[in-house]
Amino acid sequence: MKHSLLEVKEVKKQFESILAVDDCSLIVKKQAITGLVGANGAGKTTLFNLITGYYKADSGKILFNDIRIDDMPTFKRARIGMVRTFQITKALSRMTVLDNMMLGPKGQSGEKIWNIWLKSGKISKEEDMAKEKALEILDFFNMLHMKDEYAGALSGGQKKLLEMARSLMIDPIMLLLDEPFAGVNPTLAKKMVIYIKELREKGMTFLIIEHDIPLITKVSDTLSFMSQGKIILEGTPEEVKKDPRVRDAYLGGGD
Amino acid sequence: MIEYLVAIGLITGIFAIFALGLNLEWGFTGLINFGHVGFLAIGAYTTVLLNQGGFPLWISMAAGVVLAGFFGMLVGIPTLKLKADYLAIVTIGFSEIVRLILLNEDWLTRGPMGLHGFDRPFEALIPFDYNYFLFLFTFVSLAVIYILLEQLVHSPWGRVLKSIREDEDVASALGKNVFSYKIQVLILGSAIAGFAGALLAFNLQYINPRNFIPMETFYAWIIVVLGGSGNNKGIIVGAFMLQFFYSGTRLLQDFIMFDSTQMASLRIMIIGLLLVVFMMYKPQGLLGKKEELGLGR
Amino acid sequence: MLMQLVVNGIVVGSIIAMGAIGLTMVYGILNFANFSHADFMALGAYIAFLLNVTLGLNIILSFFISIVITGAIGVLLDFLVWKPMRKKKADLVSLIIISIGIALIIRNGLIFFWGGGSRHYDLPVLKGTEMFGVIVTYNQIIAFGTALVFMIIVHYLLKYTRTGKAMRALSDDIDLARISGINVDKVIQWMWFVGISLAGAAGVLYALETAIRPNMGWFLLLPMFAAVILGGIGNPYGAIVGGMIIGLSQEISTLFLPSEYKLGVSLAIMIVVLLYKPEGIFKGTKI
Repeated sequence: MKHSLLEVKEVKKQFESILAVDDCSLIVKKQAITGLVGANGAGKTTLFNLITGYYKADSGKILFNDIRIDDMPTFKRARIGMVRTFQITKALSRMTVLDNMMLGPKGQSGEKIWNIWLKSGKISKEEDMAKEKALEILDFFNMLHMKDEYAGALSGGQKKLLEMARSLMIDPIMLLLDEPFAGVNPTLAKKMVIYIKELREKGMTFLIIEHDIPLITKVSDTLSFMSQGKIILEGTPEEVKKDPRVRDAYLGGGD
Repeated sequence: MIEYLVAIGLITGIFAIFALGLNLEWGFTGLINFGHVGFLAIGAYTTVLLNQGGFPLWISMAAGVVLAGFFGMLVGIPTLKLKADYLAIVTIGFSEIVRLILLNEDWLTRGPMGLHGFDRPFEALIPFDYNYFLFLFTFVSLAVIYILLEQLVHSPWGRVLKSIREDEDVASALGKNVFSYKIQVLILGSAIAGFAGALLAFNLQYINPRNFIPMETFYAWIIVVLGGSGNNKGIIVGAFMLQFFYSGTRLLQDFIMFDSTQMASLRIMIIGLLLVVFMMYKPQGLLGKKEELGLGR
Repeated sequence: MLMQLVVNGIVVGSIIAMGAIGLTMVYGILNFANFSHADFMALGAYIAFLLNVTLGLNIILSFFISIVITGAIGVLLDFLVWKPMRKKKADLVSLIIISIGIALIIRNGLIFFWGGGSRHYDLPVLKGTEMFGVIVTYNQIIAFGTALVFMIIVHYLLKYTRTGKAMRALSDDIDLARISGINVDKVIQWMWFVGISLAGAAGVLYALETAIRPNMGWFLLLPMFAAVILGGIGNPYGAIVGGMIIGLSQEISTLFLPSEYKLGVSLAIMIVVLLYKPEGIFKGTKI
């Protein structure tokens, strides 16, 4: 069978008096699309922050591609291929949409200060390539016409799309999406589901937090249900949806 | 008249350079440096002291620039991984300590007496009024620094700085080493301040700790806020606006009943008020792009 | 010699502590470093001077009227500046810059009206008293005693009054406080009143100890920030302990450092804390 890409082992995180993540374990296999569901406050976003390095776990281990990453700073985790989006969108407001995108690519020569004068030819070549790629991705998300607008002027849904589009610029191995469909119109959301599956075929792995149960069912292979800081249930979307605990958590929400 | 304009232009040019350093830090990267004057002082005193100690002027100047940058790095190390406030607090403290050292270490700096008698670039070779040359020298330096900074901020490197200013969490999610960029910026901004310090020493011909009071930092701030943070052209305009305000109020003084202390304090009150009003209602500055107005960060 | 410095340190420390309480509350609740805080100390000292010397009121009365007026100015600024910025959800760095603007206005306003020189209250000159070979002035006793009483009052306010409890809730989580029905703006105004009037009171006491000068606050700003960071941001008790530690270390440092470098001691302590324990030394004991 496929190897695991991400392994979270008995991770714990306490804030003041609240135990946000409690002995949580999770395995994401290579090329899988895993949905992470659970009520508000179950600890999903905290878990994301632990995996991507925004918080440091009190105890436990996190492995990515068999490398321990729990002491690695965030930017290094991104460099080895793990990229996330944020629940509350973080568009870089006073930068254009295109500049937001161009920020993405890894290892840009022009991001080293001396190269600006020493390797200007190489930089402009890289910039052209990055721009071409950025325009392609923007086109897919129906945002090409907005490339020169300030990201701060976009609507909430558009900012969500921009964030996902921007993460794709890095060619991540694994993408962690925090509510990628919130505020996105249904037609586009469906298109995104297809796109995510296409990317998976090309080898990408996904971990997705989502409240829209029908959508997450459609996109993911397995669902992990989180409650009070723990993953308490894992299985196919159909299995998980049937469980009474899940139904309780989504009273009136899901189908 | 022309001498007067040259003298005023000189100090404006020096302050424009000084403020360009701050603009790189605050305008492009979002770093709050309230101790910019400390680096100005390090640049000025290092240049003068080394030159008086027998080093060639160019080496002394280079050492001033490098040392200012080095102290920028030292101040950055404990603060730049934390919230923006800490840098503000530590830099303001740092610049005061620098001033206290200049004031109290008489053996080195002659304390409040200050230092004079040092070389100035090409002074022996200039057949005409030296101030004209220094004016030229300052504005050529300003132009070079301006062009280099423009190249920097429009490069991928500058793009990373802007992303840090907007939201450093995004920058690190995209694999950028935020701390390293902030340190680079603080080194560079401080080095520019150090260079401005050397020019200031050449202009004044006599430096003492009173030239480096905390208020000097806030002159740079008002230039950046008026001109529009993140807008290098605006900084140069802002420097002229501040100079205009200063000279204008000085001319007015003859017609107003306030004494010179009162006038000085009134001026600073107005600068304080402008800082408040601009940050509240026009954070993009007088020349900032309209589209940026009202963009929530 | 050491004992003398310890006594001086305790007095200065209690004044720093009193000022730091307000600074840490603003920092904890509104989330920004208020660089104008120290200048409210000078403002309080000058208002008391106006009442005491210019208008000839008794010093005790002047003290109390001054701290009420200073606190009221703090609340007024909330209406004029901080509240509109909260409504706009302004980013925190712009608040810091605004606070510097306010600091410049206050400090230079004082110079504008009273000049740059030092002034003194209209008080009989009292000699110090000697205890165990240490000279303690009456002003020091008064300053320390008053500071102590004020800190006890703050403790009572925070622990036992509704507004005080609401302040604690705000400093934990302002959004949660809002949805649980707390009138956030009103509580914030009370916080400004308490914090700024404490600063004003500390200013008067410091002026008793030394002299009234427009830049008197400036030299306390760094020690106060050091106290706040040492005690953990948003923690008034931490700020008190931090203030005492800073006051004592500054004074004791004069044994082996020129006294001009007292400020450097605050900076050094602060940098060590930032490097090794940026959350302060009393983590987990918020308000």
